[in-house]
Amino acid sequence: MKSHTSIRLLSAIALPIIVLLGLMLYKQSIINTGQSVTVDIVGFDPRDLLSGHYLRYNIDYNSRNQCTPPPPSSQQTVRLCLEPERYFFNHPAAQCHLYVEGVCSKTGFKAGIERFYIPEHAASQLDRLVRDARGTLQLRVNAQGKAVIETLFIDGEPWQDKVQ
Amino acid sequence: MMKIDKKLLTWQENALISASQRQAILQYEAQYSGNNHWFLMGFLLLGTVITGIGIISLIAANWDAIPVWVKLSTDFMGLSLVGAGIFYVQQHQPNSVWKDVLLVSFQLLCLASIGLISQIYHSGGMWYHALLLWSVITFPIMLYAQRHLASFLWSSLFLLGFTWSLIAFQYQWLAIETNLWDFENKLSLLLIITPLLSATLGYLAKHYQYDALARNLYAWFIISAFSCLVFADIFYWFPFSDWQDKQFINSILFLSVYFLAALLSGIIILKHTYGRLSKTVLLLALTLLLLLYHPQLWFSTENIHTLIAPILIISILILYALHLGITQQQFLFNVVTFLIGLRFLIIYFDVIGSLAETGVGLILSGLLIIAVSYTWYRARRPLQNWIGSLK
Repeated sequence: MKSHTSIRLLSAIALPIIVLLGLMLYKQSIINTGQSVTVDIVGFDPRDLLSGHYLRYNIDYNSRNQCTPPPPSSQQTVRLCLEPERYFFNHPAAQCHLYVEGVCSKTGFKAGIERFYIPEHAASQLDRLVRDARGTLQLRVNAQGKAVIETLFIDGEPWQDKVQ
Repeated sequence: MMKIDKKLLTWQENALISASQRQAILQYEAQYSGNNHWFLMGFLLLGTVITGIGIISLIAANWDAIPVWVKLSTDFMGLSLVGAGIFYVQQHQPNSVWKDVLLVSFQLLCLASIGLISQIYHSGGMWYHALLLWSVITFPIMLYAQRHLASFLWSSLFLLGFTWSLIAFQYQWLAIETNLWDFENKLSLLLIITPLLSATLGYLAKHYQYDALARNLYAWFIISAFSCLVFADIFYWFPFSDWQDKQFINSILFLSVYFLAALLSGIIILKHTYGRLSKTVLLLALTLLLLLYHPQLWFSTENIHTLIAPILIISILILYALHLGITQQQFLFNVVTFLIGLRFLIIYFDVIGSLAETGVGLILSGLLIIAVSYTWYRARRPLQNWIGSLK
Protein backbone atom coordinates (compact mmCIF):
# COMPACT_ATOMS: atom_id res chain seq x y z
CA MET A 1 0.00 0.00 0.00
CA LYS A 2 2.80 2.35 1.01
CA SER A 3 4.79 1.59 -2.13
CA HIS A 4 1.69 2.32 -4.21
CA THR A 5 1.38 5.74 -2.52
CA SER A 6 5.09 6.36 -3.06
CA ILE A 7 4.79 5.56 -6.77
CA ARG A 8 1.88 7.99 -7.09
CA LEU A 9 3.86 10.73 -5.33
CA LEU A 10 6.95 10.05 -7.45
CA SER A 11 4.81 10.20 -10.61
CA ALA A 12 3.33 13.53 -9.48
CA ILE A 13 6.83 14.93 -8.93
CA ALA A 14 8.24 13.44 -12.11
CA LEU A 15 5.40 14.59 -14.40
CA PRO A 16 6.38 18.29 -14.62
CA ILE A 17 10.09 17.46 -14.83
CA ILE A 18 9.54 14.98 -17.68
CA VAL A 19 7.18 17.30 -19.58
CA LEU A 20 9.54 20.29 -19.27
CA LEU A 21 12.55 18.16 -20.18
CA GLY A 22 10.63 16.82 -23.19
CA LEU A 23 9.69 20.33 -24.27
CA MET A 24 13.30 21.45 -23.99
CA LEU A 25 14.61 18.39 -25.89
CA TYR A 26 11.99 18.86 -28.62
CA LYS A 27 13.05 22.47 -29.19
CA GLN A 28 16.71 21.48 -29.07
CA SER A 29 16.15 18.65 -31.56
CA ILE A 30 14.73 21.14 -34.09
CA ILE A 31 17.81 23.31 -33.64
CA ASN A 32 20.10 20.28 -34.04
CA THR A 33 18.39 18.64 -37.00
CA GLY A 34 16.27 21.33 -38.69
CA GLN A 35 17.21 23.08 -41.89
CA SER A 36 18.60 26.57 -41.60
CA VAL A 37 16.60 29.50 -43.03
CA THR A 38 17.26 33.25 -42.79
CA VAL A 39 14.50 35.90 -42.77
CA ASP A 40 14.41 39.71 -42.39
CA ILE A 41 12.60 41.35 -39.48
CA VAL A 42 11.31 44.76 -38.30
CA GLY A 43 9.97 45.23 -34.78
CA PHE A 44 9.74 46.69 -31.28
CA ASP A 45 10.49 45.75 -27.66
CA PRO A 46 7.79 44.88 -25.12
CA ARG A 47 8.26 42.93 -21.90
CA ASP A 48 7.05 39.60 -20.54
CA LEU A 49 6.80 39.23 -16.74
CA LEU A 50 7.80 35.59 -16.87
CA SER A 51 10.63 35.62 -19.40
CA GLY A 52 11.79 39.23 -19.51
CA HIS A 53 12.40 41.57 -22.44
CA TYR A 54 11.82 40.38 -25.94
CA LEU A 55 11.81 41.81 -29.40
CA ARG A 56 8.57 41.53 -31.31
CA TYR A 57 8.66 41.97 -35.01
CA ASN A 58 7.05 41.30 -38.32
CA ILE A 59 8.90 38.79 -40.42
CA ASP A 60 9.33 39.59 -44.07
CA TYR A 61 8.94 36.16 -45.69
CA ASN A 62 9.12 37.64 -49.16
CA SER A 63 6.33 35.36 -50.35
CA ARG A 64 4.93 35.51 -53.88
CA ASN A 65 1.29 35.41 -52.60
CA GLN A 66 -0.68 36.81 -49.63
CA CYS A 67 -1.48 34.89 -46.46
CA THR A 68 -5.28 34.52 -46.50
CA PRO A 69 -7.11 33.14 -43.45
CA PRO A 70 -9.29 30.05 -44.03
CA PRO A 71 -13.05 30.40 -43.31
CA PRO A 72 -14.17 30.47 -39.64
CA SER A 73 -14.25 27.20 -37.64
CA SER A 74 -12.32 25.28 -40.33
CA GLN A 75 -8.71 24.17 -39.99
CA GLN A 76 -6.79 27.34 -39.20
CA THR A 77 -3.29 26.08 -40.01
CA VAL A 78 -1.63 27.63 -43.03
CA ARG A 79 1.70 26.54 -44.53
CA LEU A 80 4.38 28.75 -45.94
CA CYS A 81 6.65 27.02 -48.40
CA LEU A 82 10.28 28.08 -47.94
CA GLU A 83 12.01 25.95 -50.55
CA PRO A 84 12.29 25.83 -53.53
CA GLU A 85 10.32 29.11 -53.49
CA ARG A 86 8.28 31.07 -50.96
CA TYR A 87 4.49 30.92 -51.18
CA PHE A 88 1.50 30.19 -48.92
CA PHE A 89 -0.58 27.06 -49.34
CA ASN A 90 -3.30 25.26 -47.36
CA HIS A 91 -2.87 21.67 -48.52
CA PRO A 92 0.24 19.48 -48.63
CA ALA A 93 2.05 20.07 -51.89
CA ALA A 94 4.64 17.62 -53.16
CA GLN A 95 6.74 20.28 -54.83
CA CYS A 96 7.47 22.06 -51.53
CA HIS A 97 10.63 20.65 -49.91
CA LEU A 98 10.62 22.77 -46.76
CA TYR A 99 7.70 24.56 -45.18
CA VAL A 100 6.73 26.25 -41.90
CA GLU A 101 3.28 25.96 -40.25
CA GLY A 102 1.38 28.87 -38.76
CA VAL A 103 -1.81 30.93 -38.89
CA CYS A 104 -2.85 34.00 -40.84
CA SER A 105 -3.78 37.04 -38.80
CA LYS A 106 -4.58 40.66 -39.59
CA THR A 107 -0.90 41.49 -39.20
CA GLY A 108 0.33 38.62 -41.36
CA PHE A 109 1.61 35.07 -40.99
CA LYS A 110 2.37 33.91 -37.42
CA ALA A 111 4.44 30.77 -36.81
CA GLY A 112 5.17 31.14 -33.07
CA ILE A 113 8.57 32.68 -33.79
CA GLU A 114 7.58 36.33 -33.45
CA ARG A 115 9.54 36.88 -30.24
CA PHE A 116 13.24 37.02 -29.56
CA TYR A 117 14.16 37.19 -25.88
CA ILE A 118 17.00 39.55 -25.09
CA PRO A 119 18.99 40.51 -21.98
CA GLU A 120 17.67 43.47 -19.99
CA HIS A 121 20.85 45.53 -20.55
CA ALA A 122 20.72 45.13 -24.32
CA ALA A 123 17.00 45.74 -24.76
CA SER A 124 16.92 49.40 -25.83
CA GLN A 125 19.92 49.10 -28.16
CA LEU A 126 18.63 46.00 -29.92
CA ASP A 127 15.19 47.54 -30.15
CA ARG A 128 16.63 50.51 -32.06
CA LEU A 129 18.64 48.31 -34.40
CA VAL A 130 15.67 46.08 -35.19
CA ARG A 131 13.39 49.09 -35.75
CA ASP A 132 15.92 50.30 -38.31
CA ALA A 133 15.33 47.03 -40.21
CA ARG A 134 18.90 45.87 -39.67
CA GLY A 135 17.91 42.52 -38.15
CA THR A 136 17.68 39.04 -39.64
CA LEU A 137 16.72 35.82 -37.93
CA GLN A 138 18.30 32.46 -38.41
CA LEU A 139 15.65 29.76 -38.02
CA ARG A 140 15.76 26.01 -37.88
CA VAL A 141 12.78 24.25 -39.46
CA ASN A 142 12.06 20.52 -39.15
CA ALA A 143 10.28 18.22 -41.58
CA GLN A 144 6.93 18.73 -39.78
CA GLY A 145 7.01 22.48 -40.40
CA LYS A 146 7.92 23.48 -36.83
CA ALA A 147 10.33 26.39 -36.61
CA VAL A 148 12.66 27.46 -33.78
CA ILE A 149 14.78 30.61 -33.73
CA GLU A 150 18.48 29.86 -33.62
CA THR A 151 19.85 33.37 -33.40
CA LEU A 152 19.45 37.02 -34.33
CA PHE A 153 21.85 38.77 -36.68
CA ILE A 154 22.33 42.53 -36.89
CA ASP A 155 23.88 43.66 -40.18
CA GLY A 156 24.81 40.04 -40.82
CA GLU A 157 26.70 39.59 -37.53
CA PRO A 158 25.53 37.86 -34.29
CA TRP A 159 23.67 40.37 -32.09
CA GLN A 160 26.15 39.91 -29.22
CA ASP A 161 28.87 41.54 -31.36
CA LYS A 162 26.72 44.63 -31.94
CA VAL A 163 25.75 45.30 -28.31
CA GLN A 164 28.11 47.12 -25.95
CA MET B 1 -4.31 29.21 22.75
CA MET B 2 -4.79 32.31 24.88
CA LYS B 3 -8.19 32.93 23.34
CA ILE B 4 -9.53 29.42 23.97
CA ASP B 5 -8.07 29.48 27.47
CA LYS B 6 -10.10 32.58 28.35
CA LYS B 7 -13.23 31.20 26.74
CA LEU B 8 -12.94 27.89 28.60
CA LEU B 9 -12.53 29.75 31.88
CA THR B 10 -15.66 31.80 31.17
CA TRP B 11 -17.61 28.66 30.28
CA GLN B 12 -16.42 26.94 33.47
CA GLU B 13 -17.39 29.97 35.58
CA ASN B 14 -20.85 29.88 33.98
CA ALA B 15 -21.15 26.15 34.71
CA LEU B 16 -21.28 25.21 31.05
CA ILE B 17 -18.35 22.82 31.41
CA SER B 18 -16.66 21.19 34.38
CA ALA B 19 -13.06 21.79 35.53
CA SER B 20 -12.04 18.34 34.29
CA GLN B 21 -13.58 18.98 30.87
CA ARG B 22 -11.72 22.29 30.67
CA GLN B 23 -8.48 20.54 31.55
CA ALA B 24 -9.11 17.80 29.00
CA ILE B 25 -9.77 20.36 26.23
CA LEU B 26 -6.62 22.30 27.14
CA GLN B 27 -4.57 19.10 27.06
CA TYR B 28 -6.03 18.17 23.68
CA GLU B 29 -5.31 21.62 22.24
CA ALA B 30 -1.75 21.56 23.62
CA GLN B 31 -1.16 18.19 22.02
CA TYR B 32 -2.68 18.78 18.60
CA SER B 33 -2.62 22.53 18.09
CA GLY B 34 0.27 23.57 20.32
CA ASN B 35 2.86 23.27 17.55
CA ASN B 36 0.65 24.97 15.04
CA HIS B 37 2.70 28.16 14.73
CA TRP B 38 0.53 29.84 12.14
CA PHE B 39 2.72 32.94 12.06
CA LEU B 40 5.82 30.83 11.38
CA MET B 41 3.95 28.99 8.61
CA GLY B 42 2.75 32.26 7.19
CA PHE B 43 6.24 33.74 7.07
CA LEU B 44 7.80 30.54 5.70
CA LEU B 45 5.26 30.41 2.89
CA LEU B 46 5.55 34.16 2.26
CA GLY B 47 9.35 33.77 2.10
CA THR B 48 8.94 30.89 -0.36
CA VAL B 49 6.69 32.94 -2.64
CA ILE B 50 9.06 35.93 -2.56
CA THR B 51 12.06 33.67 -3.30
CA GLY B 52 10.15 32.06 -6.18
CA ILE B 53 9.24 35.43 -7.66
CA GLY B 54 12.89 36.45 -7.23
CA ILE B 55 14.01 33.40 -9.24
CA ILE B 56 11.49 34.23 -11.98
CA SER B 57 12.79 37.83 -12.06
CA LEU B 58 16.40 36.60 -12.28
CA ILE B 59 15.44 34.42 -15.22
CA ALA B 60 13.54 37.31 -16.79
CA ALA B 61 16.69 39.47 -16.59
CA ASN B 62 18.15 37.02 -19.15
CA TRP B 63 21.85 36.98 -18.31
CA ASP B 64 23.50 36.28 -21.61
CA ALA B 65 26.89 35.75 -19.92
CA ILE B 66 25.64 32.43 -18.52
CA PRO B 67 25.76 29.63 -21.11
CA VAL B 68 22.44 28.05 -22.05
CA TRP B 69 23.42 24.59 -20.82
CA VAL B 70 24.37 26.00 -17.39
CA LYS B 71 20.99 27.74 -17.09
CA LEU B 72 19.06 24.64 -18.12
CA SER B 73 21.01 22.15 -16.02
CA THR B 74 20.81 24.39 -12.94
CA ASP B 75 17.08 24.70 -13.48
CA PHE B 76 16.44 20.97 -13.85
CA MET B 77 18.79 20.18 -10.98
CA GLY B 78 16.86 22.63 -8.79
CA LEU B 79 13.55 21.05 -9.81
CA SER B 80 14.86 17.53 -9.08
CA LEU B 81 16.29 18.53 -5.68
CA VAL B 82 13.09 20.20 -4.57
CA GLY B 83 11.13 17.20 -5.90
CA ALA B 84 13.37 14.85 -3.90
CA GLY B 85 12.81 17.05 -0.84
CA ILE B 86 9.03 16.75 -1.23
CA PHE B 87 9.32 12.98 -1.50
CA TYR B 88 11.53 12.78 1.61
CA VAL B 89 9.29 15.00 3.75
CA GLN B 90 6.13 13.19 2.60
CA GLN B 91 7.68 9.88 3.68
CA HIS B 92 8.96 11.09 7.07
CA GLN B 93 6.88 14.10 8.19
CA PRO B 94 3.78 14.28 5.98
CA ASN B 95 2.15 16.99 8.13
CA SER B 96 5.21 19.24 8.32
CA VAL B 97 5.02 22.81 7.10
CA TRP B 98 8.23 22.12 5.15
CA LYS B 99 6.27 19.93 2.76
CA ASP B 100 4.12 22.91 1.78
CA VAL B 101 7.15 25.19 1.58
CA LEU B 102 8.77 22.71 -0.83
CA LEU B 103 5.52 22.19 -2.77
CA VAL B 104 5.06 25.93 -3.37
CA SER B 105 8.76 26.21 -4.31
CA PHE B 106 8.31 23.35 -6.77
CA GLN B 107 5.23 24.98 -8.30
CA LEU B 108 7.05 28.31 -8.72
CA LEU B 109 10.15 26.59 -10.09
CA CYS B 110 8.00 24.84 -12.71
CA LEU B 111 6.61 28.24 -13.74
CA ALA B 112 10.11 29.69 -13.84
CA SER B 113 11.28 26.70 -15.95
CA ILE B 114 8.54 27.34 -18.52
CA GLY B 115 9.70 30.96 -18.66
CA LEU B 116 13.32 29.87 -19.02
CA ILE B 117 12.60 27.40 -21.84
CA SER B 118 10.48 30.04 -23.66
CA GLN B 119 13.33 32.50 -23.28
CA ILE B 120 16.10 30.20 -24.46
CA TYR B 121 14.15 28.87 -27.45
CA HIS B 122 12.32 32.17 -28.13
CA SER B 123 8.87 30.55 -28.03
CA GLY B 124 6.14 32.82 -29.28
CA GLY B 125 3.35 31.32 -27.10
CA MET B 126 1.03 33.49 -25.04
CA TRP B 127 1.25 33.89 -21.25
CA TYR B 128 -2.09 32.15 -20.72
CA HIS B 129 -0.89 29.08 -22.62
CA ALA B 130 2.14 28.99 -20.30
CA LEU B 131 -0.19 29.15 -17.28
CA LEU B 132 -2.37 26.40 -18.73
CA LEU B 133 0.64 24.13 -19.31
CA TRP B 134 1.84 24.88 -15.78
CA SER B 135 -1.59 24.06 -14.33
CA VAL B 136 -1.74 20.72 -16.12
CA ILE B 137 1.73 19.54 -15.11
CA THR B 138 1.51 20.70 -11.48
CA PHE B 139 -2.05 19.48 -10.83
CA PRO B 140 -1.12 16.05 -9.35
CA ILE B 141 1.55 17.41 -6.99
CA MET B 142 -0.74 20.22 -5.79
CA LEU B 143 -3.11 17.57 -4.43
CA TYR B 144 -0.50 16.59 -1.82
CA ALA B 145 -0.60 20.03 -0.15
CA GLN B 146 -1.77 20.12 3.47
CA ARG B 147 -2.28 23.88 3.63
CA HIS B 148 -4.05 26.34 1.42
CA LEU B 149 -1.29 28.23 -0.36
CA ALA B 150 -0.34 25.58 -2.93
CA SER B 151 -3.94 24.93 -3.97
CA PHE B 152 -4.76 28.65 -3.87
CA LEU B 153 -1.80 29.40 -6.14
CA TRP B 154 -2.82 26.58 -8.47
CA SER B 155 -6.52 27.47 -8.64
CA SER B 156 -5.78 31.19 -9.18
CA LEU B 157 -3.33 30.64 -12.04
CA PHE B 158 -5.40 27.84 -13.56
CA LEU B 159 -8.58 29.95 -13.64
CA LEU B 160 -6.67 32.83 -15.21
CA GLY B 161 -4.88 30.65 -17.76
CA PHE B 162 -7.90 28.55 -18.69
CA THR B 163 -10.33 31.45 -18.99
CA TRP B 164 -8.02 33.51 -21.19
CA SER B 165 -7.12 30.47 -23.30
CA LEU B 166 -10.84 29.74 -23.78
CA ILE B 167 -11.55 33.33 -24.82
CA ALA B 168 -8.57 33.37 -27.20
CA PHE B 169 -9.60 30.00 -28.65
CA GLN B 170 -13.10 31.29 -29.36
CA TYR B 171 -11.74 34.36 -31.07
CA GLN B 172 -9.42 32.21 -33.17
CA TRP B 173 -12.03 29.52 -33.92
CA LEU B 174 -14.58 32.11 -34.98
CA ALA B 175 -11.86 34.02 -36.85
CA ILE B 176 -12.67 37.24 -34.98
CA GLU B 177 -9.83 39.71 -35.14
CA THR B 178 -8.99 41.09 -31.70
CA ASN B 179 -8.48 44.78 -31.24
CA LEU B 180 -8.69 47.38 -28.52
CA TRP B 181 -12.44 47.80 -28.98
CA ASP B 182 -12.97 44.20 -27.99
CA PHE B 183 -11.90 45.03 -24.44
CA GLU B 184 -15.51 45.25 -23.23
CA ASN B 185 -16.36 41.88 -24.78
CA LYS B 186 -13.27 40.21 -23.36
CA LEU B 187 -13.74 41.64 -19.88
CA SER B 188 -17.42 40.62 -19.87
CA LEU B 189 -16.50 37.11 -20.96
CA LEU B 190 -13.75 36.86 -18.35
CA LEU B 191 -16.07 38.05 -15.60
CA ILE B 192 -18.89 35.66 -16.43
CA ILE B 193 -16.78 32.62 -17.35
CA THR B 194 -14.71 32.74 -14.12
CA PRO B 195 -17.58 32.22 -11.63
CA LEU B 196 -19.20 29.55 -13.82
CA LEU B 197 -15.90 27.71 -14.23
CA SER B 198 -14.85 27.99 -10.59
CA ALA B 199 -18.29 26.80 -9.40
CA THR B 200 -18.26 23.84 -11.81
CA LEU B 201 -14.73 22.80 -10.87
CA GLY B 202 -15.41 23.48 -7.18
CA TYR B 203 -18.34 21.03 -7.22
CA LEU B 204 -16.20 18.45 -9.02
CA ALA B 205 -13.30 18.91 -6.56
CA LYS B 206 -15.74 18.49 -3.66
CA HIS B 207 -17.21 15.38 -5.27
CA TYR B 208 -13.76 13.79 -5.61
CA GLN B 209 -12.91 14.87 -2.02
CA TYR B 210 -10.17 17.36 -2.87
CA ASP B 211 -11.39 19.58 -0.06
CA ALA B 212 -8.62 22.21 0.00
CA LEU B 213 -8.94 22.73 -3.75
CA ALA B 214 -12.75 22.85 -3.50
CA ARG B 215 -12.56 25.55 -0.81
CA ASN B 216 -10.17 27.68 -2.88
CA LEU B 217 -12.31 27.33 -5.99
CA TYR B 218 -15.36 28.26 -3.92
CA ALA B 219 -13.52 31.36 -2.64
CA TRP B 220 -12.79 32.30 -6.27
CA PHE B 221 -16.43 31.66 -7.17
CA ILE B 222 -17.58 34.12 -4.50
CA ILE B 223 -15.01 36.78 -5.48
CA SER B 224 -15.62 36.44 -9.22
CA ALA B 225 -19.43 36.18 -8.93
CA PHE B 226 -19.60 39.42 -6.94
CA SER B 227 -17.18 41.08 -9.38
CA CYS B 228 -19.38 39.87 -12.24
CA LEU B 229 -22.47 41.49 -10.68
CA VAL B 230 -20.64 44.71 -9.77
CA PHE B 231 -19.25 44.98 -13.31
CA ALA B 232 -22.71 44.52 -14.86
CA ASP B 233 -24.15 47.06 -12.44
CA ILE B 234 -21.50 49.67 -13.27
CA PHE B 235 -21.84 48.95 -16.97
CA TYR B 236 -25.58 49.54 -16.95
CA TRP B 237 -25.12 52.61 -14.77
CA PHE B 238 -22.53 54.23 -17.02
CA PRO B 239 -23.07 52.89 -20.52
CA PHE B 240 -19.59 53.46 -21.91
CA SER B 241 -19.15 54.87 -25.39
CA ASP B 242 -21.50 53.32 -27.92
CA TRP B 243 -21.78 49.83 -26.47
CA GLN B 244 -25.58 49.84 -26.62
CA ASP B 245 -25.35 50.22 -30.37
CA LYS B 246 -22.85 47.39 -30.73
CA GLN B 247 -24.34 44.98 -28.14
CA PHE B 248 -23.09 44.46 -24.64
CA ILE B 249 -21.47 41.24 -25.67
CA ASN B 250 -21.20 39.54 -28.99
CA SER B 251 -23.68 36.64 -28.71
CA ILE B 252 -21.62 34.19 -30.70
CA LEU B 253 -18.76 34.65 -28.22
CA PHE B 254 -21.18 33.45 -25.55
CA LEU B 255 -20.93 29.83 -26.73
CA SER B 256 -18.49 28.83 -23.99
CA VAL B 257 -20.66 30.58 -21.39
CA TYR B 258 -23.72 28.56 -22.46
CA PHE B 259 -21.70 25.38 -22.38
CA LEU B 260 -20.36 26.06 -18.89
CA ALA B 261 -23.81 27.13 -17.65
CA ALA B 262 -25.32 23.88 -18.99
CA LEU B 263 -22.57 21.85 -17.29
CA LEU B 264 -23.06 23.69 -14.00
CA SER B 265 -26.85 23.25 -14.20
CA GLY B 266 -26.37 19.52 -14.73
CA ILE B 267 -24.12 19.29 -11.69
CA ILE B 268 -26.61 21.27 -9.55
CA ILE B 269 -29.49 19.03 -10.67
CA LEU B 270 -27.50 15.88 -9.91
CA LYS B 271 -26.23 17.10 -6.53
CA HIS B 272 -27.99 14.84 -4.07
CA THR B 273 -27.17 16.92 -0.97
CA TYR B 274 -29.27 19.84 -2.29
CA GLY B 275 -33.02 19.82 -1.80
CA ARG B 276 -35.50 20.75 -4.54
CA LEU B 277 -35.80 24.35 -3.32
CA SER B 278 -32.02 24.87 -3.27
CA LYS B 279 -31.67 23.46 -6.79
CA THR B 280 -34.52 25.64 -8.04
CA VAL B 281 -33.14 28.90 -6.59
CA LEU B 282 -29.64 28.18 -7.90
CA LEU B 283 -30.90 27.41 -11.41
CA LEU B 284 -33.07 30.52 -11.36
CA ALA B 285 -30.13 32.64 -10.21
CA LEU B 286 -28.00 31.18 -13.01
CA THR B 287 -30.70 31.95 -15.60
CA LEU B 288 -31.01 35.54 -14.36
CA LEU B 289 -27.22 35.93 -14.48
CA LEU B 290 -27.20 34.87 -18.13
CA LEU B 291 -30.07 37.25 -18.88
CA LEU B 292 -28.19 40.07 -17.14
CA TYR B 293 -25.39 39.65 -19.68
CA HIS B 294 -27.82 39.85 -22.60
CA PRO B 295 -29.07 43.43 -22.40
CA GLN B 296 -30.26 43.37 -25.99
CA LEU B 297 -33.14 41.18 -24.75
CA TRP B 298 -34.21 43.80 -22.23
CA PHE B 299 -33.28 47.23 -23.36
CA SER B 300 -33.43 49.51 -26.30
CA THR B 301 -31.07 52.45 -26.63
CA GLU B 302 -33.79 54.77 -25.30
CA ASN B 303 -34.50 53.11 -21.95
CA ILE B 304 -31.02 52.08 -20.90
CA HIS B 305 -31.32 53.75 -17.46
CA THR B 306 -34.23 51.63 -16.25
CA LEU B 307 -34.39 49.79 -12.96
CA ILE B 308 -34.41 46.39 -14.65
CA ALA B 309 -30.67 45.78 -14.21
CA PRO B 310 -30.61 46.53 -10.44
CA ILE B 311 -33.75 44.44 -10.00
CA LEU B 312 -32.11 41.54 -11.83
CA ILE B 313 -29.01 41.88 -9.65
CA ILE B 314 -31.03 42.06 -6.43
CA SER B 315 -33.08 39.04 -7.54
CA ILE B 316 -29.88 37.05 -8.14
CA LEU B 317 -28.59 38.04 -4.70
CA ILE B 318 -31.90 37.16 -3.01
CA LEU B 319 -31.96 33.75 -4.72
CA TYR B 320 -28.38 33.09 -3.69
CA ALA B 321 -29.12 34.25 -0.13
CA LEU B 322 -31.97 31.73 -0.06
CA HIS B 323 -29.55 28.98 -1.06
CA LEU B 324 -27.06 30.13 1.60
CA GLY B 325 -29.82 30.16 4.20
CA ILE B 326 -30.95 26.67 3.25
CA THR B 327 -27.39 25.32 3.39
CA GLN B 328 -26.71 27.18 6.69
CA GLN B 329 -23.74 29.24 5.46
CA GLN B 330 -24.16 31.98 8.01
CA PHE B 331 -21.25 34.31 7.20
CA LEU B 332 -21.96 34.46 3.47
CA PHE B 333 -25.67 34.75 4.14
CA ASN B 334 -24.96 37.87 6.24
CA VAL B 335 -22.71 39.30 3.52
CA VAL B 336 -25.24 38.73 0.74
CA THR B 337 -28.21 40.07 2.70
CA PHE B 338 -26.12 43.14 3.59
CA LEU B 339 -25.33 43.62 -0.13
CA ILE B 340 -29.03 43.36 -0.96
CA GLY B 341 -29.77 46.14 1.56
CA LEU B 342 -26.92 48.23 0.16
CA ARG B 343 -28.18 47.84 -3.40
CA PHE B 344 -31.68 48.91 -2.34
CA LEU B 345 -30.17 52.02 -0.75
CA ILE B 346 -28.37 52.86 -4.00
CA ILE B 347 -31.68 52.52 -5.87
CA TYR B 348 -33.25 54.89 -3.36
CA PHE B 349 -30.48 57.48 -3.87
CA ASP B 350 -30.82 57.07 -7.62
CA VAL B 351 -34.59 57.53 -7.61
CA ILE B 352 -34.70 60.56 -5.28
CA GLY B 353 -31.22 61.86 -6.12
CA SER B 354 -32.24 65.52 -6.19
CA LEU B 355 -34.05 65.31 -2.86
CA ALA B 356 -30.95 63.84 -1.19
CA GLU B 357 -29.09 67.04 -1.90
CA THR B 358 -31.43 68.97 0.38
CA GLY B 359 -31.42 68.88 4.17
CA VAL B 360 -34.67 66.93 4.37
CA GLY B 361 -33.36 64.46 1.84
CA LEU B 362 -30.17 63.91 3.84
CA ILE B 363 -32.09 63.42 7.10
CA LEU B 364 -34.42 60.94 5.40
CA SER B 365 -31.48 59.15 3.81
CA GLY B 366 -29.59 58.94 7.12
CA LEU B 367 -32.66 57.59 8.90
CA LEU B 368 -33.20 55.09 6.11
CA ILE B 369 -29.62 53.83 6.39
CA ILE B 370 -30.06 53.39 10.16
CA ALA B 371 -33.42 51.66 9.68
CA VAL B 372 -32.13 49.31 6.99
CA SER B 373 -28.99 48.46 8.98
CA TYR B 374 -30.98 47.83 12.17
CA THR B 375 -33.64 45.79 10.40
CA TRP B 376 -30.95 43.76 8.69
CA TYR B 377 -29.13 43.19 11.99
CA ARG B 378 -32.29 42.10 13.81
CA ALA B 379 -33.85 40.11 11.00
CA ARG B 380 -30.88 38.24 9.54
CA ARG B 381 -30.82 35.39 12.09
CA PRO B 382 -34.61 34.72 12.19
CA LEU B 383 -34.66 35.03 8.39
CA GLN B 384 -31.85 32.51 8.05
CA ASN B 385 -33.59 30.13 10.45
CA TRP B 386 -36.83 30.47 8.55
CA ILE B 387 -35.12 29.84 5.21
CA GLY B 388 -33.29 26.88 6.75
CA SER B 389 -36.66 25.39 7.73
CA LEU B 390 -37.89 25.57 4.13
CA LYS B 391 -35.72 22.70 2.87
